[in-house]
Amino acid sequence: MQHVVVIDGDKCTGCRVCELVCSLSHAKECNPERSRISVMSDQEEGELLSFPITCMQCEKAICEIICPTKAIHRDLATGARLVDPKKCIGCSACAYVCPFGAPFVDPIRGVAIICDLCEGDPLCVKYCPTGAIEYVMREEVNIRLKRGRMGRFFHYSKVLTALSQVV
Amino acid sequence: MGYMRGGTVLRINLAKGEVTKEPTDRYARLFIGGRGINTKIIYDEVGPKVGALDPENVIAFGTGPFTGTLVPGSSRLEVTAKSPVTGTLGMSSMGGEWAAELKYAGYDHVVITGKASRPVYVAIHNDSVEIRDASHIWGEDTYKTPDVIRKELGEPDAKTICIGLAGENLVNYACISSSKGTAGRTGMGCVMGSKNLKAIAVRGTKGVSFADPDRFLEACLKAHDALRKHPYWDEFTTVGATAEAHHMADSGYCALGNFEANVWNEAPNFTPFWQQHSGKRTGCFGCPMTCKEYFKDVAGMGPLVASCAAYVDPTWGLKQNNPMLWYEFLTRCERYGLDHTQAVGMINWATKLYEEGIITEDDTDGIPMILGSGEAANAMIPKIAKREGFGAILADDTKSAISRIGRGSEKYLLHTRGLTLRHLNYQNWRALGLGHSVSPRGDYTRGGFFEPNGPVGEFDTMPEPEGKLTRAIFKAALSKVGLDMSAYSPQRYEGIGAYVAFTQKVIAVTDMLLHCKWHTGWVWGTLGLEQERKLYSIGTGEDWTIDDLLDVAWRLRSLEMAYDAREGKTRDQDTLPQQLFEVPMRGLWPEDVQDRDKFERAKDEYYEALGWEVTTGVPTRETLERLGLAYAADDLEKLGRLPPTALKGEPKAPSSADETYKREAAGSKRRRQGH
Repeated sequence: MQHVVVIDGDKCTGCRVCELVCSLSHAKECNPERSRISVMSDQEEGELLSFPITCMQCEKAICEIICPTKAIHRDLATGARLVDPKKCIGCSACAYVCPFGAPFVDPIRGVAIICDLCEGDPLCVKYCPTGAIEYVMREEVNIRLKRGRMGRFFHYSKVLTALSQVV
Repeated sequence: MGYMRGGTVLRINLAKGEVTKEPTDRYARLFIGGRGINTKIIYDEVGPKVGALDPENVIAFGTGPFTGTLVPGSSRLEVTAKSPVTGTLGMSSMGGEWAAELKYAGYDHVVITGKASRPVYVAIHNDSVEIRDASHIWGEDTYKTPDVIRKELGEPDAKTICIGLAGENLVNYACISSSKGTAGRTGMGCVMGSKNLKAIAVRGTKGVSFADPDRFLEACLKAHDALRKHPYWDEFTTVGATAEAHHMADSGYCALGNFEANVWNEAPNFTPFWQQHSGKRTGCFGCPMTCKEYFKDVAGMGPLVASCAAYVDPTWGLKQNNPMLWYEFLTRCERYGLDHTQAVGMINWATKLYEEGIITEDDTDGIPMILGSGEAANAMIPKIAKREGFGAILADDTKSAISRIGRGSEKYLLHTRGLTLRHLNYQNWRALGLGHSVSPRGDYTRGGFFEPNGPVGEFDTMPEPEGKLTRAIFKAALSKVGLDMSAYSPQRYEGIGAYVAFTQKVIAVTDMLLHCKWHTGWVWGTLGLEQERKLYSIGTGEDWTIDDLLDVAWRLRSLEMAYDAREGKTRDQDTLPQQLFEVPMRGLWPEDVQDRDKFERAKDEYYEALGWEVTTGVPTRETLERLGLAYAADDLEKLGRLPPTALKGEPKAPSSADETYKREAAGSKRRRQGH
């Protein structure tokens, strides 16, 4: 049963434990620049927005299609896109074409790095303290996202109701 | 570059505009990192002839081997310099993100000396280090400064520490600020201001490597797992450090106003305020606890990240519980870059003087300085930062402020060595009171653990071997007076000297490896000595025992005390204000005060436990030589401050490598100046 990673940016506090656990387990050093999940943040004018970016496990992955040496293939068990380091030439085409900016060419190894879902037991999911990163069955992603938005819808409708009573 | 370290100490001379680099290895074996290596550098390079605001003062910014790793809460920075507040060794630390970024740029420490001829900031990007003009941000608050720098450098991910107007105006207790942490106490921001140093921005993209990365990962994940299983996990990850403040308040651990009571029926709970205005949490880089409250804006006052220290002094200290006024007070202190604890202490003093009629509204620019008036306190903050009106007096060090007012004002200023007291109950909690008095910088932080059976410390929840050693200390001390452990109470004096000596060393280990003390036996107990030892050994590939770590801590504590003794600090300054020995606080222990005799005997026990001479509180030559600090004994002897008496008994000899010491001692002789 294939799972995908689902991210709720509202829950992300920017702690970056995901980046540390990913880089240490895969690249064998603690280095956010070499993590397969990247927390993008905005701190302008006291803002504190953060959102983790990682591979969305596309059904039709452009990275896989565009790779000139066919170095990327889909793992049958987990559905993750795996890079064959023997075939990869580090051209960055995958990095350019991904709509989410998930793959990147690792500066030390010179080959593309894409989230491999930790062979089916993702560490970032386990160690995210707020549950901002979840590992969900593909079939459930839809209902999960809808429920998440439903919560927001109820919240906004309450706000609107309250406002309308004041006016 | 070795394991766990960036490998380089970055040295900057702002007067000459010079940048040099030296290997961290030079200091690592004997002082590990963080507060240890920082202090060694300051000891070598800032002697009694150098004033805290002289260009020759050195300010060291230090990370530790744990910084930037998966060890929870390890993005911490230690700042060390001679302090304008105490006139002796100053030290302050902050969490947040800056320290990890510095490590990723490849540096373990940044050491800055000299005064720039015009306002500057330092920009570090991996190997490139620039000293840049800061005249366009001089005067800017601490919120705006990082934004300007990020844009100017074209580095959206650069992290910045900076001073505000208070540091620029050399307010005695100006602090160093960052987006998620502040190095508050001992006037480190004032030192930066005296160097015309507005900020340090850093961007780093290198990594931290380990001798055995797989085992290191495993050990770190165990620490993360332990946190999630901890009974406080739910509370702290939802309510944050205010949970700690509530525990302390409920246990009589806080002090109200001018130390009049340890209970407060109107003590505030700001969780509803936070939920209403924000509900969003944040925390330090690499820590799952997310113990800080984030506010984007409240009533147009702008953002605030509220850390653990934010809840006690601005409420209990000012005796005011209005959350709006609390928010205003903190955001003002943050923007101006002012130590809010010392600001509260100085304002409290003014309210006491006003109450006693020693000062009137004529002295205070028409503002009635009434304790409990949040408005009066808040009005003072900009005046202090700008050194205007009455604020100019409150902006000074305690000695100057006292002499400017005179009229017997001295007896009302509650401080230890120039640091105003943080609002905790040093009267009824004996180990806290002792630990505060003999602490490295003169305030309770790093002065030892909270009492077991205190608001968060319990014998049962202490990690091992800390728990076993602590129980043994109190058991032995109580049996000497014919009692057993059932008689233990935090209001007794037996054993606290040894307990404070031991737990100060434990805290020093944490401050050198460098991670958040909350994870240690001090609070949560999820990352105690055994875990620290394991992580450090696995990470470096070196073989460290707990005794090795405690020996380095012992060396650091002795060097810190030798530094202060070299500056002329005496045993009688290791104390609490007389009020706490005479006037009982209202509350949970009516009529109870600190007993001067028992307090001084406990100090004797503390000094003895560390191999320091009892009548002076100064390390003996024997102890200093055992710890590889013979040069410190020589320095003290030259000044006539080395105690002549021989040590009683045989303290355990440390296991430091003699060769490393000899090499290092030869190097440090060349660098020392200003004696």
